[in-house]
Amino acid sequence: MRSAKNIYIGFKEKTLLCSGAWLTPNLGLVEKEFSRFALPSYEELVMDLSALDVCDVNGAILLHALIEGLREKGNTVTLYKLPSEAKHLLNITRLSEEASLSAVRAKENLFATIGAGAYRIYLSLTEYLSFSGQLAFALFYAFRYPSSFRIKEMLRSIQEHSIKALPIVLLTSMLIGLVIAYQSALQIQKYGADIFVVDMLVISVTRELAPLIAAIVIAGRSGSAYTAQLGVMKITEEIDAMRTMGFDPFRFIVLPNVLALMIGLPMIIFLADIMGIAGGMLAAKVELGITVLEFVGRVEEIFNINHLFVGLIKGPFFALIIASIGSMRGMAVENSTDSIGINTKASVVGAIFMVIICDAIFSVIFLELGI
Amino acid sequence: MKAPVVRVRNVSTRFGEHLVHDDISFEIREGEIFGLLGPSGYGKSTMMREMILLQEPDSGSIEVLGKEVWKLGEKEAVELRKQWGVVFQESALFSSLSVEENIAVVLREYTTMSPALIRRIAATKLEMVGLSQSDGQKYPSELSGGMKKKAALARALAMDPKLLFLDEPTSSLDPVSAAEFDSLILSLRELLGLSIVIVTHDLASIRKILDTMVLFADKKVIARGSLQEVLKVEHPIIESFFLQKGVKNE
Repeated sequence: MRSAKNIYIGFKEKTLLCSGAWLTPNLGLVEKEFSRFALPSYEELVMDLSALDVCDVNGAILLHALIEGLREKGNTVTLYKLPSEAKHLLNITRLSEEASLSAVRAKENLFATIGAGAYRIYLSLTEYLSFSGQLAFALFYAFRYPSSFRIKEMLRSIQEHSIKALPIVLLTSMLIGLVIAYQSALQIQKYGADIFVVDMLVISVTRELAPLIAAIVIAGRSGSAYTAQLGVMKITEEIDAMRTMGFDPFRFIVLPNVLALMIGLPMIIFLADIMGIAGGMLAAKVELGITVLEFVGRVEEIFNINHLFVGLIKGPFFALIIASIGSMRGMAVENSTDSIGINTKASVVGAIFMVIICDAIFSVIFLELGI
Repeated sequence: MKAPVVRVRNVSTRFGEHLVHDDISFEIREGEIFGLLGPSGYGKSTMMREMILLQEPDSGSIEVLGKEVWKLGEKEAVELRKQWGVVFQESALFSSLSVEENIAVVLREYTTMSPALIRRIAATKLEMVGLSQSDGQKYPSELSGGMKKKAALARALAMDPKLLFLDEPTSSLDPVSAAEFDSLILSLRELLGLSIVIVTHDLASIRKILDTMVLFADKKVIARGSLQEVLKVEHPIIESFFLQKGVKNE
């Protein structure tokens, strides 16, 4: 019964012969059959439905649409041998005869798209300002009433987002150190300046590479987690529930997370420094034959403690960027699952981008200060 | 007697150690509004999930529309799924799509209809459930609970199914909206000749729309038939299920 075999539309001497099973899966075929004819205007037509095997609601809607289309062209349409079942269905679909079909959405033009995009950027900036204000307020509140601060939450957050992130951050850092040393060894060897690989490695890892790698991995790992967690809490109305009980989500969730990462990230960076240099040391030994003793000796000779501080001082700033953008995006989630995806993506991309901008600003500042 | 649209035979289900269904059998006839009732946690939603291919029973067989659902190949299963509509408890509308697109999505996927016809069908389905054209342009997050339920019903009707599954359709609605939804279901059954399977606790619904029902308790079906027949059965759970809701005294 459901087969599409018998679907056929014939058009002969002002009579449209409709046959077959007009069921939902077959309706595309029916439409195709109909499109074979150039339908006439201002004629008296007969639709012969005697061969219509079966018809469901969607089939009746199609029949209705076809009749309407014919009538719009000035034809008169008479239905011949309408099956009683289809008659009943046509009555149902007649309900919507007056209902005008909604217009297709207007095509967007380029300028409107650019304008809307620019406005969105403006909105997200103001949103960030407002978010920073609320965060600052929560911070002052915590200073004013220290007992209200959720220290347990913060410790849990350090455990979750810093300590548990160590393996992946340290492994990444070690591999980067190894690759950098290995690649530059080939070049440096040409000048016979083998031992300088140590200078290059130590300075680049401590000042730039370790902080950036740590920040980028954490942005991907924890920034997304903050967004998803807050976003789901928003959708399930947990945030609203907290508010009605007088638990400000900024004080109870956002601030502990932000502070936890500001404490955790410098520590991660410190360990990443060590692992990055260790990775480089391995490459230097294998590729250039620099022994561990030689390596450490050279480090002692050239190492200025400023290099370490330059790297570490970036930690809290990067952490603030990652945790605050992640939380802000989480709070911006609206009542749809799609919104979680969009905001999580925006959170990670935004955080990494802002971390790199911040890093560039630090470079300029340190250069000017001569550190 | 009309043919059964659903036939459950000797079904047993266990979650780990916990036995939920112990050798349950019943039939649902064509054109019936059939209720799966029982206190929470007695496996009525699970039974429905087993019928609609979401959860496999441990033993026994379930036939829906003449097909034994858990023995079907992937292709046949897709064919079968097109022939029923499901309304979930939380509506489960796709939140990234507008209501109209929610209805259109299966039509676009499974048929070759023109976009104009699909829009027309979506518009008609919206009207059938009492939503307006402008509601069709809205996103699920912009709808009230009652409207979401109606939109989910319209989506379930998109492919013109003959069989409809409703999981606690009125549980999160206020009494007025719930009564309205019940009337809607009755009128759709009248209009389209649907067979409808409902999981519910809502006593107003039970009284108003169910033709036949089974009551689950203690891993078994403890009562079946019309409301009058079910009420005649002597069982403590029936006492508590109906009495505390004040039916038995009437």
